[in-house]
Amino acid sequence: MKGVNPITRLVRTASEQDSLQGIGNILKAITEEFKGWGTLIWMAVPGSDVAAGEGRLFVLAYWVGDTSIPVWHELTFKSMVGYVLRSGEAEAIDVTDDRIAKPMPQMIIDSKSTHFCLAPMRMADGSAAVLEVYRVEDEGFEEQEVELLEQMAAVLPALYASLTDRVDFHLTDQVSEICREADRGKILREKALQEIVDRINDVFRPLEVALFLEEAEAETGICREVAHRMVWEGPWKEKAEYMRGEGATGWVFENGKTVQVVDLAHSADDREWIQSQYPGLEWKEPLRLRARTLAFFKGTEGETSPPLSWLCAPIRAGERNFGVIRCAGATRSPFYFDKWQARLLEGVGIRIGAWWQNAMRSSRIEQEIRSWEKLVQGFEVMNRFVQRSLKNIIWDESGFFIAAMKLAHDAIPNTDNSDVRLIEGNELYTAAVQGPDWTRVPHWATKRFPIKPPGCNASYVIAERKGVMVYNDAPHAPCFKPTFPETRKLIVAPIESGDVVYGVLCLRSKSEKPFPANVRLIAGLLGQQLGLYHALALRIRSLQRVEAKNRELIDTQAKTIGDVHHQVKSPIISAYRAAQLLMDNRSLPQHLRPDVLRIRGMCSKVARVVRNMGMFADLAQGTPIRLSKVLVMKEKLLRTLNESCADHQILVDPDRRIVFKVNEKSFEDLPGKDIVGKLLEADWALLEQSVNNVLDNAAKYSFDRTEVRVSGGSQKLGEFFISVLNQGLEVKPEQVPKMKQRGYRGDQAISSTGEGSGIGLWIVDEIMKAHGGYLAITPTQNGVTDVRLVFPVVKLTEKLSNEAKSSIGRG
Amino acid sequence: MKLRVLLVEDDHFQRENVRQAIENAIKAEVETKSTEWEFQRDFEAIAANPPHVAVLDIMLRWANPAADMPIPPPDVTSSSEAGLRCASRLLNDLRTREVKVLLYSVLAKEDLGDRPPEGADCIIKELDFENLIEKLKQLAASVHK
Repeated sequence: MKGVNPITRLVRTASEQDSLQGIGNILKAITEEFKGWGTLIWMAVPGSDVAAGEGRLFVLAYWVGDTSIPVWHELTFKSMVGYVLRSGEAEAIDVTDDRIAKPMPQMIIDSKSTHFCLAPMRMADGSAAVLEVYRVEDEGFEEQEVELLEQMAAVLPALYASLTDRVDFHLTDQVSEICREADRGKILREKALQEIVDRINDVFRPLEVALFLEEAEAETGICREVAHRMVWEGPWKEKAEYMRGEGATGWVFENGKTVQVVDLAHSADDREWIQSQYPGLEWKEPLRLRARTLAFFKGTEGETSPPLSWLCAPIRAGERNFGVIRCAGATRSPFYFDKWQARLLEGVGIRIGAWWQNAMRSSRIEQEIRSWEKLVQGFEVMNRFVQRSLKNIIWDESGFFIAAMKLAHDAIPNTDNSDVRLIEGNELYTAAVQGPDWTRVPHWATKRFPIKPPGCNASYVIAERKGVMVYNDAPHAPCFKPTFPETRKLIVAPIESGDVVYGVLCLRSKSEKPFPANVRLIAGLLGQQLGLYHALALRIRSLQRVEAKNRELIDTQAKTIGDVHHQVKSPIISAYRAAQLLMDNRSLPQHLRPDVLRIRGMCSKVARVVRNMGMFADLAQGTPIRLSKVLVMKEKLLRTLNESCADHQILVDPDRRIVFKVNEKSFEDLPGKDIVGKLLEADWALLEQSVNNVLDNAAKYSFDRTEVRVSGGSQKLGEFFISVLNQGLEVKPEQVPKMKQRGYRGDQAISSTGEGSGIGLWIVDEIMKAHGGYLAITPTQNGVTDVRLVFPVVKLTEKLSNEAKSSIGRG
Repeated sequence: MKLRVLLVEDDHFQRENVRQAIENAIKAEVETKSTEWEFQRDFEAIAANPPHVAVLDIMLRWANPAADMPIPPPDVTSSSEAGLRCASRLLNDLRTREVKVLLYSVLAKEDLGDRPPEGADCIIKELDFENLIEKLKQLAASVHK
């Protein structure tokens, strides 16, 4: 650096600094330039009157090598420094100069300094200051050295201001970055606040720094400590929240103005000054600040203590004050917070305010989103509960109500003790309660009481049809009865469906925080959901009563039908058998045969209808189909099928020329008299009944001049079928499942015939299932519909074979 | 003059038995229809030469199953009203309102309530045809006068 102008060197050194500690390096460079022992900057305390010599001087900054000096030293204006400050002239003096106050400050004695060079300065904020270099050499300062110091004193305030600007920018930048990170969710809000406090701590080096915020979008009037950093057991640490206007911190919170007190330890003297600067701020000092400060700095009683500076800036956004940042007691010279620090803290407060406003808005939105998400999830849970309940015969509504109240507690922050009250007659009764404190409520709170306002808020909401009522100040709500003394807020939502109000849902909160804005909607929805559920429960209970009566009626009807079946069955079968015998009688005159055949056909139809009635009655009463199986022999089956076809042939209008035929060859798989073939076991009467039901459908729905063909055969492994093919009304694929249902009749079927109740194929299906088989309906293809009775084929074992042989006779 | 009877009955046994019973009992000319559709289709011809008496079953099929089965009009929603619709048409048409309408059904008058149109008589189907024949004889006498 030799050959470079000393001022240039000084500027370069200053420009390399980026923290407040950098001022020490600048003063070190000045000390080295003058081959001195150390360099100090003295500054008049704000409010000092330099011209009148009133005030004090503090060390703003210093560099004295490794030597420890009592840096909280303060000087009066009667000192040499004060003299230079008042004279406004740079000056070099030695230790023998009379103007040096006697006794000399201990610092000068300890340093063994013999020569001093002093130059007055005017800091960037207008404060008066002095730059002083100490030298322990024998030689004093030359005139040109005095001039050089004067030049340095001229540029030093600008360099200092530049340094503080950089610190200012750096801190603001850091705080902005932390806020951005928090906004992006990269760091948690709590961590961001602590980071901000730590960065402020790095720059200000206070005894303590604390951040207080109002943690809600809506104003609560209370700011709470959200982060702090402290290096001493200060007097304020136990105070974690302030109301507006409470003490100096509350004053800043209320007024949104920065308060800067240079020395709290002198506040008793300066109370007048504080009140003139900050109207309404009444500083109380029960804190023994001077003794505490002295103890922290390890001074002894009677010694001069450093100032206890206090700085508190508002956290603002627009017109809204969200809280404060408070720094107390600087731990580094000049031991008070300067004006630029006050401005810096204000700037930081504005940055935090902008972020916090957004964060509270986002927080509200996030909270609302969470509320809605929980509500939706809760509705899913409640719907599942309803679905489960639908399967139960007895409903327990209280379970649903409790689930709904738990959901309300999840979705609406800080709600705790809730209840559902339902209307019965002109009274309200408590149907369900949820919350930790219900075990200790007075008896009257859960008893029945009349709906007669003013009774309570529930009565009020029901009687006045007020909709959802939200009371953020519950104790002052109309008709408030404190079920829980701690209740601060209350929501009363009507439980309603359509125009009917069934009761109310009451949600309470002990918290001071106001309810979020969406509670009215959430509570309203819950009330409606509960109303729907309750209406459903009432309707189902009513239906259950009707169903029980219907069941009783159906049972009676089924029993009657069963009786009719039993009474008619025997005579009609006898009539059928008589006609059959006549037909078998060869002596029956030929011209009578058609009439006998007609009688047999009629009897067959009546017998089939009567059997269907009997089976309908059995199935309607839940009586399972009982089978009496026999081995189905080919010859007997063919005879039955032919007779059935003949009976249907005789019943169908001859003008329509529908022909019924049995393809006998197709039944060859079945065992004949020699018991060789596939074994098919079936209840003979039910088999006959099934075939006749299918043929009856074919007769009804076939087109004129077509053929109904009955055939049989094996299909797949282990299945034997009897098929009825007809050409008639189309059976569409989507109709097939319905055709097996009780009472189903296709549109065209209804048009084309007035007969039929739609139970024929249902009964066939039940019969086939009882046999372990099934009814197969193939939708119409190329005009042909195939209806098959599919039976399982029995494995031919010795045992079965024997059983089969023995059952032939019974068939 | 022979009594001219229109018989609408979908059960072919009944249709044949009733026709024979009427023809055996009185001098009558019986024309038959087996479905509601046949009646409606042929109504213009019926109106052009109205019968003296119409014997109508009440529960009638709309039409026999057929590939080209006519689609029933919107008011034909139930086969249990078919005979009543036929009766109404006869009694409401100026050309046929003089036709004596007999609703011939297994349903009792009490079962039918106020459904039969004004001017229609009800006769219950029994095992024999005495009630019907007696009524037709009375009508035949009035026609012969």
